[in-house]
Amino acid sequence: MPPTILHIDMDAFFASVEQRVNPALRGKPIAVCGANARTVVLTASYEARAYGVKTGMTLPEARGLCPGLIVVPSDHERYTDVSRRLLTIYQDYTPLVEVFSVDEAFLDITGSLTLFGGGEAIASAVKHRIRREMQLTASVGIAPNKILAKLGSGLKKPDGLVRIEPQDVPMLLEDLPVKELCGIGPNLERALADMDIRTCGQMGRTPVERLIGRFGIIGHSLKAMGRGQDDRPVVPTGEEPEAKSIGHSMTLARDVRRPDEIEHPLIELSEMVGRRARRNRYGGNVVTLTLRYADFQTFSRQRRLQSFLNDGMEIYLAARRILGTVRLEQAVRLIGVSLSGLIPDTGQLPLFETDQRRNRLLATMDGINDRYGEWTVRWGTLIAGHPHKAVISPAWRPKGVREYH
Amino acid sequence: MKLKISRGELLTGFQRVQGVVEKRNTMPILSNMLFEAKGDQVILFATDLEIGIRGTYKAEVSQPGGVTVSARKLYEIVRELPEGTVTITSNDEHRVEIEAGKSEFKVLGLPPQEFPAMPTVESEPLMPMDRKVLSDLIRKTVFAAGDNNARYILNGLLVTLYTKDKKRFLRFVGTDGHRLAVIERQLDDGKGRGLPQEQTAIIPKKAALEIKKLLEENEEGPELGVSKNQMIFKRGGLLLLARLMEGSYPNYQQVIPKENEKRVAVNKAELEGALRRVSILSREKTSAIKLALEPDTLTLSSSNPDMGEAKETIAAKFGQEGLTTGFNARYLLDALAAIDAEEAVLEFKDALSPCIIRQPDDPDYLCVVMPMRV
Repeated sequence: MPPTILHIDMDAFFASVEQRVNPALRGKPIAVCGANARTVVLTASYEARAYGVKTGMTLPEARGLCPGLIVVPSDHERYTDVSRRLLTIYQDYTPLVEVFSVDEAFLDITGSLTLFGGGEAIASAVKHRIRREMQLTASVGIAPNKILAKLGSGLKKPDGLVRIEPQDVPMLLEDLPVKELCGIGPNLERALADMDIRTCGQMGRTPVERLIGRFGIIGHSLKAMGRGQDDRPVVPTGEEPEAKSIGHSMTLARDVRRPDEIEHPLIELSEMVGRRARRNRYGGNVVTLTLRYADFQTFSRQRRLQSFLNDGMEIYLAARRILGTVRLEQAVRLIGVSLSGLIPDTGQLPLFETDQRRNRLLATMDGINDRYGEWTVRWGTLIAGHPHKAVISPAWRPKGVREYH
Repeated sequence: MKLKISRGELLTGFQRVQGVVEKRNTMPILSNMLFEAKGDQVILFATDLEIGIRGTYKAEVSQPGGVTVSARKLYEIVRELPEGTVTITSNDEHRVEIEAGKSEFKVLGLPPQEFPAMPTVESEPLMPMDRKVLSDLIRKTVFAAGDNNARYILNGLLVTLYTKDKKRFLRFVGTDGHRLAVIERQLDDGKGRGLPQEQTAIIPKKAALEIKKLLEENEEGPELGVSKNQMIFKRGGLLLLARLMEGSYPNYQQVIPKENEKRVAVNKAELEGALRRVSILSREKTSAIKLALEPDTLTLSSSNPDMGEAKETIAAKFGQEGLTTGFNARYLLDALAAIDAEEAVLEFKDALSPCIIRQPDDPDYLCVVMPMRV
């Protein structure tokens, strides 16, 4: 039997969750933004979208288009909690649920079709339960593979249900711009345009050798994508390969020029990374610092360390040494810290009593923060600032190393 | 600048600067060396701003002058040249021409003024050292020092000069927070007059490794000294300067166990072989192995859930009740490599306490390795 895949995409997820919680926001143009005033619009409600407000706009840009815009700071604990509850709904229909991001999931329902009476029946049932139990709407795509299911969920938003049959595929893709396909970002789009490939139809007809010559091994996938083919399985959440890195980033309250002004957020991010590594019993030996300049130019530098570590302090020391090697050419807008080269905790004991005490201290702090919430106990240096609420990364998963709240 | 020099002399000089020149491209000129001809010699100088090395080499200088040029490229060129005389000239545009036999190279250089200045050597008294003693001090401790450790100070060696019963001693300590090596050596009587009674410095690991390389050239007469902010190594016309590291070194004496009463003597080569074999199947990147001590045997084992497992038993006189613990095999191998005897002695207290590794005929050397929870 050919596979049947659902892609469920929550409509204006963060904004809808906020409108559900606060009735005063319903029917109004709202934009959910990061906790600090300088972040960009994360999600706009459909009322705001009518004015042209889009994800990624800065607040002044959004307000320029929609003067009555209500700005709501994001509350990630709330969204990840809703996301976890959605997962339990999906899992009532199939065990093969891949959480793709906080507001998207793939369901392989091939095996449950007869049980629930077909693809549309399952999609309608899921949509109905999301509406009844969560007071939210979702758009669903039904297709023989992931790439088409994802395409389908985006065709009739909001509250859509689109089935893509194999025979519809050539017509659907013929004039579809390549950027509409999941996995083709702006860089790839530009590179394809340089080869005169703008639509999926063109990409599917391009000889595979040409694509491989330009893009290497992914040439095969690009050709297949252009023809609406995709054999990637739905990987149930919890069975995905182990994380390669643990990282956090934040947009600063204002652009800063002096390296010492970056210190405080650097400590904060390093602490968050260390905390998450310890929570999942990982240690890493590569620390990466990412900086984004005021003009959005972004770059990373990394440092390989001798031993595997997960103490925020040591991550910070490494990140600061990297910062010391960078000559800032512009004011910095965003910084990110990540730990990679991850291995499960080695069990190596430290030689020095001070390090042993330090490990006990961290375990105690982690225990308190597990119980009473993040930042309940924190280093004195971090008391002055407003502890940062993490932005949910696209790689968010309901459990495991990617989880953060 | 114009000069003639033997290929052998030039190769020695170029080889010596290779370890010091900066490999990361933070400041491009640091991948160059300074080449200066005056009198009847060539002076070569390279630095990464932390360490500087300066050597003089016999040459026939017909026109004095200087230039700075890629240390790596010139070394690669000279390495491939046949034995004989090499002619080197540089013009006003700082282009360096190298001629030898039928070969001719033109390499672009930069004016010598752009190169960082050679640090001046303060007139500190230097102590003459026995080559073997200095080599042991470094070789037996440097492996335990940190390599790009997050705690910067551990990337150095602690060097202490002290006086006891009117005799001078030099002590080197290296640690990366998981293991530690300490060695002490008495200096020959009468040497080092004018040196302070006590002196402490932390020298960068990279400098120690460069000195170790220079000592392997088997030339006698090295001298060592420490000024307020730099370490000086001198041998004839060869000079290596390293900026001292600033910070407080951890209290290493505290972690040397005093009550490790469970001793076991093992054949060093046998243990090394077993460690290498068993660690092949240890968990990736950690080299974790289990060590089980029985009255007459020592059993090493490893297991990797994705791979399989390995086990090897060797004869060892333990003669006590059993003990099972875990170690990073690499740490034990590093420590054993520094033991210059057929037998090595391991001393334990319990499974989670540090182990001491000793060389039976060298009471002034020991290495401490902290176990792993396995």
